Amino acid sequence: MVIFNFVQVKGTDFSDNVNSKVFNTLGEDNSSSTFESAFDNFNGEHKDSFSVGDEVSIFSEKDVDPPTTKIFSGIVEEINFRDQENNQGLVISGRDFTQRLMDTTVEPSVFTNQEVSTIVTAIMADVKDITVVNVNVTTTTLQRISFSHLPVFDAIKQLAELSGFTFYVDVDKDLHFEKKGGTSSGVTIDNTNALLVKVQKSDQGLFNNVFVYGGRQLTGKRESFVPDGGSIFTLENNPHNTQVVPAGSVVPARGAILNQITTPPSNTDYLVNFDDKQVIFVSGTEAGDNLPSSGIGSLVIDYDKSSPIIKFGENKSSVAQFGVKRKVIQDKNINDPLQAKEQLLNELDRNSSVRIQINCKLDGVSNLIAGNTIFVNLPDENIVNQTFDILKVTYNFTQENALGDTVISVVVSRKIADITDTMKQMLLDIRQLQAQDLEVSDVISRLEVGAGSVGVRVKSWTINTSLTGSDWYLGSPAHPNGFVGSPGSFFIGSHTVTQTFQISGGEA
Amino acid sequence: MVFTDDGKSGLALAFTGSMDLPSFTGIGSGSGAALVTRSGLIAQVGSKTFTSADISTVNEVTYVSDFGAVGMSGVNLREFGVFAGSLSMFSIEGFDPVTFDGTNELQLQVTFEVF
Repeated sequence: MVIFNFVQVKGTDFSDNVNSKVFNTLGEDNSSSTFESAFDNFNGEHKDSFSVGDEVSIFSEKDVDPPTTKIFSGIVEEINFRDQENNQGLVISGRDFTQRLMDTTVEPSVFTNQEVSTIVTAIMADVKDITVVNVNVTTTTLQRISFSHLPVFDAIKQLAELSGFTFYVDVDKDLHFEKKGGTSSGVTIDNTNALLVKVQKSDQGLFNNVFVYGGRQLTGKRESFVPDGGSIFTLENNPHNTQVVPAGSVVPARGAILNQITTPPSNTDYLVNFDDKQVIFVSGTEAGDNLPSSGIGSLVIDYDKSSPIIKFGENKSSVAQFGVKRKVIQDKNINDPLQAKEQLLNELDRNSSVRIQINCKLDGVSNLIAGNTIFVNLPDENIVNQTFDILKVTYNFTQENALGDTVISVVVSRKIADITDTMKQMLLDIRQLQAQDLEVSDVISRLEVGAGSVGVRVKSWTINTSLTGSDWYLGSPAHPNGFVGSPGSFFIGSHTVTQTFQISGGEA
Repeated sequence: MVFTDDGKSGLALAFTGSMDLPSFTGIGSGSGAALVTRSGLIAQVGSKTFTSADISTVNEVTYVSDFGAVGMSGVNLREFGVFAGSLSMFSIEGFDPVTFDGTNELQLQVTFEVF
């Protein structure tokens, strides 16, 4: 068996590539591909065969020459010439059309009460060349979500996370938005085709104690005071946009910021001490006497109170097993508590358990797609007949691999976080311009998911009947066989009639 | 005997003191499936507060209701339910008819278990 392959660049077929590699990788919620192909360049035979920006397609198929199955479609982004003594060669490389999603951002938009696939279709409108034929309908409707110049790729990634879907751009430049784990590859990894197996189980990326911090909202508040001759009035919250109306007046007092200048000028009635939550009336040579008169009326202070969107959640059974693994999510684009809650629940659902990753080189498999599922049966690694996600597929088209039908290596199961994920998230955070300006919150909504449960049930029920009235007997308890006329005592007694069982039931 | 949706929500509200707990039994002659979605008997013919409540078994309570022969006379008993004072039906059961002709009395026992 032989796996044949060739590279097509700008419509021209090249089968003299020395070596080609395609990396099809699944992130948490998406799949994307990169390629590189090496060519000999003796006497400059390929010096002008390729240009940056050329469209590239790679075909591969087992025992079919020329192959007809396209496994990669993308753009040449880099060309590197290498000359060393008598060896002249070049390498072309690039990404698939998922790059179109990375290079375009979503205009500032807010979507309310919309099903996820309609949001995906709407934000794809600005991405040229990519169709949306295979954007499938989800069962998730979002109360509210907003984007502000987020790359389309990352916006769709958020939507995929929230709906349990995955996405990729296929070789025909069509966006697939599909339910995660919804498509099987039809392949089983077992001891008949696994040439090299490495299984890793890790708690990296496991989070069971999650804070979601969103934006802050200002809401109006009014506090009233009865002046007592003092100058300092302490509020319940840090005041924004303060407006003070002294007793007996309808004209707002004039305010300034404490310590902004050494001596308050004549046009200042009070100063605001934000951190200590105080309004301080001033008096002095220049400012005059602005202290509210004692006992006269009430002083009204209106201001805006800043309330953060915060949600906290914990998976208690995961904490009991692995200890506290905390994650803090900060996203100022979240201005709706419901959106924060959805993100929190999604985070706990996805990341509260141990991750398993299997690296494997396969024999006799010619085509796999990251994002599809694959069956794994490796009893010696304690994995018996389980379904995993394909995280990464690597095609390595060397002559040896092609002849030996061992072109494909796969990484399956849930992706273990590595340094590239950490770096990507840092870049994303910088792009979102998140600032570390958290204030002490007054209310945190908490969600705790714990082990154990309680229930109530009807254990049993019974219907009995009994005849009316009572039995009677002649005699006494001491002489049950009494008789009339005896000099002994006698009386008529009674006892409870026996009940008759009719029907019963219950869950016991 | 099914624990109804009204019963579940009523039990949750009971934690806040907003909802009465079961206090009487209703009986009826309606014929039909005992569904969790029912909020009342199909054809109620009478009701009675509990005669007794036995809590001697841990995590269980047994309610007993007694109905006299006069009130039961002519009833084809096919269903009964357990109700809270606010008229929420916590549970319902249906069965083949039990006939009362004025000479027999009815006693119902229902045991709820918290597990």
